[in-house]
Amino acid sequence: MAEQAPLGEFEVTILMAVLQCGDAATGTTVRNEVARRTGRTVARGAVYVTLDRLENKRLLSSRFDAATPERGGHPRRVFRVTPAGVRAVKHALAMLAAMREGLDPILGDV
Amino acid sequence: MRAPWRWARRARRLRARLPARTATAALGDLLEEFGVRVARDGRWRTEWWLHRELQSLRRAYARELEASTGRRFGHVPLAIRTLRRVAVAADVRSVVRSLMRARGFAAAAAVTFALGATINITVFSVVDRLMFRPLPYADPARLVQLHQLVTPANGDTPPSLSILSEVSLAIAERTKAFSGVAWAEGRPVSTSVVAGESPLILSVATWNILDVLGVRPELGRGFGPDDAGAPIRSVILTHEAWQRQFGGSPGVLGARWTDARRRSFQVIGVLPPGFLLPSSRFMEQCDGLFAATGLFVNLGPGAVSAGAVARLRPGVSLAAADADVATLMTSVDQWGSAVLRDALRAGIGRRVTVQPLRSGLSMLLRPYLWLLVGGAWVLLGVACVNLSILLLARGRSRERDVAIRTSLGASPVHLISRAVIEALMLCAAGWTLGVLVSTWVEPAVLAVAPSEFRGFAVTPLNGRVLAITLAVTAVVAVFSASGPAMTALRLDVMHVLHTEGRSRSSSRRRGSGALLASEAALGAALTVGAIVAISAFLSLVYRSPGYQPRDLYTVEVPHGSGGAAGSDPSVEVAARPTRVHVVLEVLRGLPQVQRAAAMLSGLFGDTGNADLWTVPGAQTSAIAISDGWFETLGAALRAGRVFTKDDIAEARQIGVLNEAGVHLLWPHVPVASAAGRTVSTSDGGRVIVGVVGDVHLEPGTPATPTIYIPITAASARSHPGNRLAAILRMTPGARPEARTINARLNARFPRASVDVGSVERAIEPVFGQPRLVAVLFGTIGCLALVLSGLGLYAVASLEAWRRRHEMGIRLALGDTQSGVALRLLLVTLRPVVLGTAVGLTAAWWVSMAGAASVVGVGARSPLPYAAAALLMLSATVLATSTPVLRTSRVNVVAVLRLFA
Repeated sequence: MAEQAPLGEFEVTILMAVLQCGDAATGTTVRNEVARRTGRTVARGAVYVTLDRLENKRLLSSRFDAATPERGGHPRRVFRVTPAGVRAVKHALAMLAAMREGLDPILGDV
Repeated sequence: MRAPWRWARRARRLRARLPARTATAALGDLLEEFGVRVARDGRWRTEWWLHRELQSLRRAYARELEASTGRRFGHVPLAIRTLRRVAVAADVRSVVRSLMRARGFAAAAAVTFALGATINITVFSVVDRLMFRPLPYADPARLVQLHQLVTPANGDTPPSLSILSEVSLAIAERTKAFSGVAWAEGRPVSTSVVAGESPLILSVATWNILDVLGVRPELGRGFGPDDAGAPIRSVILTHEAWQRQFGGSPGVLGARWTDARRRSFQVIGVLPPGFLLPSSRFMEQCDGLFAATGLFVNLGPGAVSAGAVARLRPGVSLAAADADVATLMTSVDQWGSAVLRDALRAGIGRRVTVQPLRSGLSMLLRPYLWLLVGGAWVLLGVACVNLSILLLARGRSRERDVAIRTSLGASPVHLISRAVIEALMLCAAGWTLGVLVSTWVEPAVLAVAPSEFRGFAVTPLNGRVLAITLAVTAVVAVFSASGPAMTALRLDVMHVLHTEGRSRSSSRRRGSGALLASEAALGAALTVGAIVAISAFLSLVYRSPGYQPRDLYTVEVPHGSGGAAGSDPSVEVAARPTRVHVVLEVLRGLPQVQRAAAMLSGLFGDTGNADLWTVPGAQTSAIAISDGWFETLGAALRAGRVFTKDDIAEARQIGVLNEAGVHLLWPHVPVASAAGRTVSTSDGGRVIVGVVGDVHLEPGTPATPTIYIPITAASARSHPGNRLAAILRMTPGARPEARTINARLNARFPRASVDVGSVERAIEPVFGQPRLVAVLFGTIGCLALVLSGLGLYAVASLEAWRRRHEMGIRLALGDTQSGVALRLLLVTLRPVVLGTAVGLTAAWWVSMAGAASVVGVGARSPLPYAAAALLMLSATVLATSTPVLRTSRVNVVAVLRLFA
């Protein structure tokens, strides 16, 4: 497999939000999770585009649940982080941790 | 739960942008959240939220597409923009190729739009300076016009806008709202710098006019207080007259001349180019201004001028100025003279209106101008609808092409841009054609335009005219493209590809039906206007004025002092009778003069010696005339005879009445029986020897009861006027030369100088506005009919082509050809009937709202409406007959085999 380009901050955020949501990770729940945890309102389009991009990178996989009348007959799309996705998150966090080393006097306990 | 507004359409648009799996999930997520939010936030807030969410999704995926393109081909936004440009250029090339293949369609569409564009460019070039262009004065927003409404007591002539000089003076001196009050009369004063050559047409103005307007002369100086009342009138020429008459020479300053009326003028300055006389009395030609003898005082308290122009002081609003003037007018009894109070009682409005100068200038003409502009816009609307119909018809014939493009991945933006490019190219071609045609017809338009409009017209090649009409063209192109673009977007690709364009669903006919109805409505309204305007003008033209104005000229000769200004003191009162005979002898001896006669009054609107014949409660006139007067004028003799040379020589106590005079004196007596009766006059009564037809000095105006009496030595001697009016009947095409007449008269008595004028030209303004309205509305109405016919033909052809399979089946099942033809005819007839009814109702409403007084009172009669309806229906039948008959005669076997 060709070497993946490093993930962007928002992609890492979305991957971690999917992990947080567990089996209920849909576009809406992921967006709400990001908003709840970061206090940042993100555009729906940005979330969906990122989810699609991560799926194309095989860091996420998705499946359709059964359709319901509330959804106008449209099925729910549920996301799951693939093992490659988990590794990518770990890698990104490790990179951040390595970059953080020695910055405690400046950054404190953040 | 109620579905969101236009949900299916919005879902379709989202699916067009997003990957299928994502779109499905996103639509479900949105609907689910929509249900929750509607219960919490209400319908409209949730709709707004949904709109923004959908927009966010579409934009995000559009950006993602662009970014992925950048990632694949190198992340260079410039490259993407270049690719887009190339795509547009490719579209343009493709549209050009496609139009070249359909030359007939392209020509029809371009000509269709050119018809509307030509009228709009022409009308706009005529009215722009009057209606839309900023006035050429300093800070024009602070300039206002002051006027009173003058309502004539007899009601025969329309009200006019003027102001009494005493009121102007009071406003200037007693109010605080204005920094200056001035006026320019706008009544042409003709003065010849060199006798016999084309005269300068000047307007009198107060000396402070340029200060109030904030206009600085480009050469020389402006007026000063010393110029008012100076024996030599100070003249400031317009830039155009300076260039034309004096070749732009700086030596014009100080040029001095004395004209035929012995008035002296001296040029003191030259106005900047494009100067506009601030008077609601528009002059055909204004070559400059000369200073009035005083600001207002020397005019006399009752003198009336065209509305005054004033400049508001800084910080003073129009409403405050209006209130200030209104307060002044409430106390007119304290400061006004007896003459002013009499004038106010006699019909001049006590209220002084203060309004922005632009509105004031064009106030009397505004209904005409708006009617013309409105007519041109409506015609442009017809052309626009027609273009839409043609593009729609073409779009339907190319559905397969569009379906293939869509299936190959053409985006909605691409389809829309292609439709817009096609419409833009056709409109641009039509606009170019329109500019060329309007430049070509410009002289003809100016020839039929009222004289007061001509001075304001600009060439159609004027930059502002071109820019504005081009912008309008672009808007029309986008509008015209919207129908075909929507059709292309809604195209059922699978269905079209499957059937190969052989069948259509009936729902797609609705667009052309609506367009056809709107076109018929606009066309019917314009046709009514055209019929009314043309009939009003023809009635004016064919209503005889009672004489023959063609080849008739007036010659005014000084006739002694009479105590009036501008008189010739060299003419002794005692010599006046002899002078009349000498003048007639000279005039009758001129080359190409067929007849000549003289009268002791002016030709237009003069009551002559009104004291001679008075009838209580009626306005009458008594005019002394020479022999041959009626023959020269071309007036009709109704009964008896006219004056002979013996009547004049023997000073007989006789008279000739006009028909109005007979009706006034003896209402129940036939005109033929009036001869031989005696009329009571102040000189002992006169025997009526003949009755002549009424002479309406201006066509359409009522005739004044008049008694004509022979010129005698006594009447010539006692005539109070200082001018002798003569009329000349010339051989067709000939014109009397003032220089020749002066030379011959000078040989008989010294210092003779005459003014020569054409009667035909003098009454021309009466025809001006009705003629312009008739010509333009006639043209607009005819063009609307032609355009409607083209649109109908296009729709009928399309319908006939589209339904040929259905008609083939009907014929195969036993329907008759006439039945099939009628069925097709009804397809176009139904919307046309509906549209015509709407158009006629709108025209009726507009005429009731006041347009009838402008176009013609015939707008209130049902006849024009019936005629317009008949014309529209005839045009429909005529335009649709060919395609309908062609389809009804279709070869059934061939058609059924084609669609098998």
